[in-house]
Amino acid sequence: MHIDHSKLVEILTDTSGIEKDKVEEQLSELVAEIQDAIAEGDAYEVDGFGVFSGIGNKVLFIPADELATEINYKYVGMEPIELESGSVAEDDHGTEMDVDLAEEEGPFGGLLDDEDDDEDSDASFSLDVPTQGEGEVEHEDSEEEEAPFDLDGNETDEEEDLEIESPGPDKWGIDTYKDDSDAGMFSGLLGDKKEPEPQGEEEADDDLNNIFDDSEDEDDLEAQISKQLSDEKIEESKDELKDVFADGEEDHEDFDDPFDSLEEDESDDADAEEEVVPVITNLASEAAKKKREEEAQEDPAEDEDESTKSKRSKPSRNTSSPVLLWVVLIIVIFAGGTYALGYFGIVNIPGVTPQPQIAATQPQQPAPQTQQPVAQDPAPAIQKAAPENQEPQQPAETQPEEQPAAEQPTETQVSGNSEAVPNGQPKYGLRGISNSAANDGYTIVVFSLSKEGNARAKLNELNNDGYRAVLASIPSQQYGQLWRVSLGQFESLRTAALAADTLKSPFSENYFITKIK
Amino acid sequence: MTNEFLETLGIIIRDQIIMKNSVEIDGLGLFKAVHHNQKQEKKSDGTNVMVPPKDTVEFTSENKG
Repeated sequence: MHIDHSKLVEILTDTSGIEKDKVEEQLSELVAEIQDAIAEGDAYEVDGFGVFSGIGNKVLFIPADELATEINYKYVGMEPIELESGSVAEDDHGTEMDVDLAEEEGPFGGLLDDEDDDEDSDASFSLDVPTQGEGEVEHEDSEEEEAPFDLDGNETDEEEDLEIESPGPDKWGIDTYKDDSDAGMFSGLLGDKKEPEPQGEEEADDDLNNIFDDSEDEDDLEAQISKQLSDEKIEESKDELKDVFADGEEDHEDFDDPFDSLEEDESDDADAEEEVVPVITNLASEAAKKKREEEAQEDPAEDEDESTKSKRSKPSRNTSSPVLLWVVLIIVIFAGGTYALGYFGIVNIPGVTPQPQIAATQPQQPAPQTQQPVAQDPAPAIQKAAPENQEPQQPAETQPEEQPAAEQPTETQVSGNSEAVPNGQPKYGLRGISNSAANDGYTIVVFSLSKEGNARAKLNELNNDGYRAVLASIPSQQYGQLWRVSLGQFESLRTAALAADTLKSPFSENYFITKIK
Repeated sequence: MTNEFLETLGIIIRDQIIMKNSVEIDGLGLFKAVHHNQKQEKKSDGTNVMVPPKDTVEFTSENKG
């Protein structure tokens, strides 16, 4: 409907209570002020409404945020829905931002044209023209596939030579900077290359063998001494034991003792003849302890020997550390790479991949709650309204509330027809009786009303027309409680869109699809 | 011209636009509502988004410049 100047004056007169002449006068004054401001190159702002500015004689109007928001009160709570890849129309021209598919195909063109999508996707594959780099990759793949059957190792070398010598495209791309020396970085981990470390291990093993030889020699020496002790007097043997085990302890702590060779010869002879007597060993160890305590106070040089020993024992650890370092390095690189892939959205990792600022429609919809109009319905989770018991209270009209309520409930309540669902009725559909079990699907919203009475009147009207009408209350802090009357219950967005296409005027001109709950 | 008048005028124009009516003011121009359907958009990151519908105010100046 068009509101011309005279009609606007009438409405202003009725609304404000100001006389018609004064209204016309003030309206003319307003227009004159705006034109003067624009003529002077200024802008004229009406608080809460917008800004008038001008280019030449042409007046431009920029609506205020309040106005732009308030005229969209019907869509409060609706946020962009990220579509699943399966229900999205393919776009071959993907480099273009914000492609509006609805301009030519309607809002659900992508959902309704699955066959075209398949054709497009096939076409996209057929139109792929291999570039030089892709050709090279295919060539390498074929070589890799053939490689398991190449039992002759010489052919591998020949292929490598060919790769090195081949000019042109093979030298382009990533292989241009291929360095064979780098390829061997991880070869040690794969077991196909010997590292120089085993030499160090051998040396360390030799050192360890020397150490253990020394200890064995000490055992042999003890055996020899025990044999001597069995033949000689105890007191003399004690003195000798002190001397001998003192030397033995020194040998144990100082591996470079030049007298080791002499003791080894003696121990070899003794080892061949007798076994160890453990009692004598204990006595000797006590004597050795005493001797060690005495010498620990006297000879500080033993500390240096101990440090020497610790230094020699280090190579045995160092042999395994490079492998451990490589393993740790690979784990760190793998973890970092995975994190990077997740962070940049290549791989969807919960908690790492940044979530877009969009969310599902009506995210704040917890469990349904009962609604007061129906008392006789035996406690379904979502109670149904009783349209027969309610008379239309006011003519249905899209009227926003002038003063939004300060505090609004934060839950969405859904109700439908109170009649029992027929046995043969499918769970989802456009027509029939609303089924509370189908409230997990989608619906086509055709009315958003601020008054419950108007909404229920519309609900009854649609029910009488045979539609499966659903009434949902949407809380809004800005506009108060909104009542959405919608048609049908559909399992998916696609089926809802298909059904919406069958709607007739006036529903076909202004609707939107959203989740029921 | 009082502030009350300006406020009333803004509310009336807003309500008429919500009701899909166009409002014309002589010497100034025509206000009308434009409905933008729910539509799919492909974002630069490759995600497809179903954008909810919205209404906007379109102003046509009386002076075409």
